[in-house]
Amino acid sequence: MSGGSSGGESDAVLAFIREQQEAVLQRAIDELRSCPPADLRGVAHAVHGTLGSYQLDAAHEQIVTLSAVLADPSTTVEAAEEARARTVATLVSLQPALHGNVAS
Amino acid sequence: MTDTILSIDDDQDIRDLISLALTEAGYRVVSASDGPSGIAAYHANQPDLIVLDIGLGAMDGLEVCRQLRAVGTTPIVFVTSRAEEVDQLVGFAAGADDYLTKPFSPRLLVARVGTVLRRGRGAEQPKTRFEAGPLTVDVESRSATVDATELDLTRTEFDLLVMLMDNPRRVVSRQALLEGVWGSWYGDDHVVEVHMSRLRTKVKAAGGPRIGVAVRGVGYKLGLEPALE
Repeated sequence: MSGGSSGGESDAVLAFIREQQEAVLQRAIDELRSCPPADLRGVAHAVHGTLGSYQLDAAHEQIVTLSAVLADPSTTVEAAEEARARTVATLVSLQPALHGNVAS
Repeated sequence: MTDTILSIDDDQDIRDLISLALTEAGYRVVSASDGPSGIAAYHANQPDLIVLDIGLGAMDGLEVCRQLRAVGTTPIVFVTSRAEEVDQLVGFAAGADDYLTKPFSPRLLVARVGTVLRRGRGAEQPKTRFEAGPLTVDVESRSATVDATELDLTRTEFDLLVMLMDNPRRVVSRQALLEGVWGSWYGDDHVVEVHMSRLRTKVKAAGGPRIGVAVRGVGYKLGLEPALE
């Protein structure tokens, strides 16, 4: 998974993005896992921009879905935690595709 | 001279991406991770443009923007996850020159930065004082001197002199002079030569050099190397 939207970036920028994707995704997973429930919405908001900017499109879509759940006033604390767990599990499942990712 | 860009963002990954994209584009980049260190970096580096996140912690980007606006006019481009229209309006109200939402494309950021820098330069104040050899022109007071001798110029002669001194190394075409001095002119363009000749005579009578040198079929040049531009 590298997200197909290279968008004509320069070779150097594209190489950097690809080299960093695995670490960026790992940091996002760690932050989502470890943050207190009260901070979850803010953390999701922050990693949303980072994952998308590093062209981690599938991961980015998961965060968009999580943010929508967290923004819904009817979402209970339990439902928010379930959404967090689902999102983290999906992000973890995306990691193997990035292992050893280098610029093509 | 290389433009310096100050990037202020609390996310190391975003700072790294912004820094690489702008460095690749030929800019010098300095970075800061929060509001106070960003303001300190502004004073230390006097950047040509600032790329600023909003969500920076205790002192958010809006407050940083307001504080920087209080002390200068350096262009500010927000790069932030806050994508709602109201967020953008608040950003512009705080003094932003442009607003880009995350996720962002590095090449789009580079394009926006370049555009804002060019726009800022286009808005620079026009020169109001010109010096070339013994000639000095002050547009605001509409005075022209050769050394210390004041020239008694008509409005047209003064405007012709300003156009020549504003383009000290170029030939200014008759058409450009007509448009610049007369606005619109539908008559004989020899009117330029008539007034230029009178201007020449007055400058020479005051002890000055020959100016308004005709370039056949094109226009006129100042005719002396400027001491200062």
